[in-house]
Amino acid sequence: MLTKKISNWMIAAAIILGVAAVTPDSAEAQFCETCDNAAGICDGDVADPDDRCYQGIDWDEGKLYCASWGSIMDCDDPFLSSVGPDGSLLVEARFATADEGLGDVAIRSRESGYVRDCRSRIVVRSYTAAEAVDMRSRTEQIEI
Amino acid sequence: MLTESGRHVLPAHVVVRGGALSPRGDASLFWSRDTVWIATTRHDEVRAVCPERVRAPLGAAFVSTPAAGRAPAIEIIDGGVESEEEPRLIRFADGQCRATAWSGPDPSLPIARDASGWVVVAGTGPGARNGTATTRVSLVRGGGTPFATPFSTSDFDVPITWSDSAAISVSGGPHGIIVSSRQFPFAWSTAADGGDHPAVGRVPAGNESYYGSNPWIGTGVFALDSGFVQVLADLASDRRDLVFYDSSGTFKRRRVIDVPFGILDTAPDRRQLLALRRTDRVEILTYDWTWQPHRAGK
Repeated sequence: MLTKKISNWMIAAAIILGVAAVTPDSAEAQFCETCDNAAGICDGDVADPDDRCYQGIDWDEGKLYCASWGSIMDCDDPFLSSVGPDGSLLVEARFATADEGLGDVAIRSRESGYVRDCRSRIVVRSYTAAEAVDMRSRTEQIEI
Repeated sequence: MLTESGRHVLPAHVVVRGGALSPRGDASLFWSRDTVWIATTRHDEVRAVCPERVRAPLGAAFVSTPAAGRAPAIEIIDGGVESEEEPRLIRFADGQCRATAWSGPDPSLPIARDASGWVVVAGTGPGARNGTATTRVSLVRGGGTPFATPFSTSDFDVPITWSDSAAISVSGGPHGIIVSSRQFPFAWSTAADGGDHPAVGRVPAGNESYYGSNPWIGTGVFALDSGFVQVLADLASDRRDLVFYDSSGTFKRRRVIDVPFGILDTAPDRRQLLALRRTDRVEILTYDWTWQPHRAGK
């Protein structure tokens, strides 16, 4: 049992440290857990009701990190102030560091990024080079 | 036909917030949450503007036509990064960056610049036009300079019911400010300036099912030389609709593209358009437009 607890603790630490180690500047895409999961993360002690919660996934596969907002209320936000000029969802995210220990994760930095709409399960994804070539070719000239 | 004439490629993680074309068409500005860049129109040269002063740009614009051989003057509205920092107006001219306190309304509200200065959507509230519920938008000039244009600190009605400034987009045009709703029916209006009759438009009735099936949002209306163009984005996909209106605001047609794409600014007199495309990178694009012969003059 103790081994299991330690293992879980180490996994949790690795996850949080993984989030901390990947700076927003190196991020290329964000893939977020569902709102239900994010809300679950927020069930613990959150110092600031405005704090976001984070869960990292896939950073070892080049996806780098996930920034998710942490409450159903946020998920119901129509995001009207968080849409970029290209029509993609944006959110002002704050990234956690684990300098103060697992039980007291500090919010240290802010960054904007593309996110998914919880309600409609939108994922703003990255595109392959081949897809990008096709997207460029389709918009080098636009009939108006 | 929109034809791409210039491109600057940024890393995919850069989140571009807005952009502006220069009065002469030889340069453009674009900005992220912490940096403003200037690029030549052909985008062979790009550099940050006043990086030692800019912290959190909310808007940027060229403010004068530069004399031959001189750099253009640029104004940047900076919101500051800490709560105790006051918004500032940063002016870049003759190679110098000067910051002064912003004395207008909260610049974090929707803001745009026309030929006379910065204009902020300082508030919204219920209005009425011919018995129809509208949103009354308060446009306030800022920047510490007194203005006497017709909509200085005035209200005007937009035929929408959404009374939230966050649901409003503003853009600067050759004849003033264009205010648009970000929600269906994506109504918009030019702010009457100099006594001009405002152009007012919206997506025609009958499109409720199309735009209601997915979460669509309007990202702004921009002036063309013979009307206006509005970009509508499907938040659930890469679909973007370019909606065209004539000079009075009457709906003309819609063009569909399936690429994350948005318009940042237009220069109708030069038929030049600044756009953003997100592929495997973030791309700042300059387009030139021409009209097909059968559409000339529309």
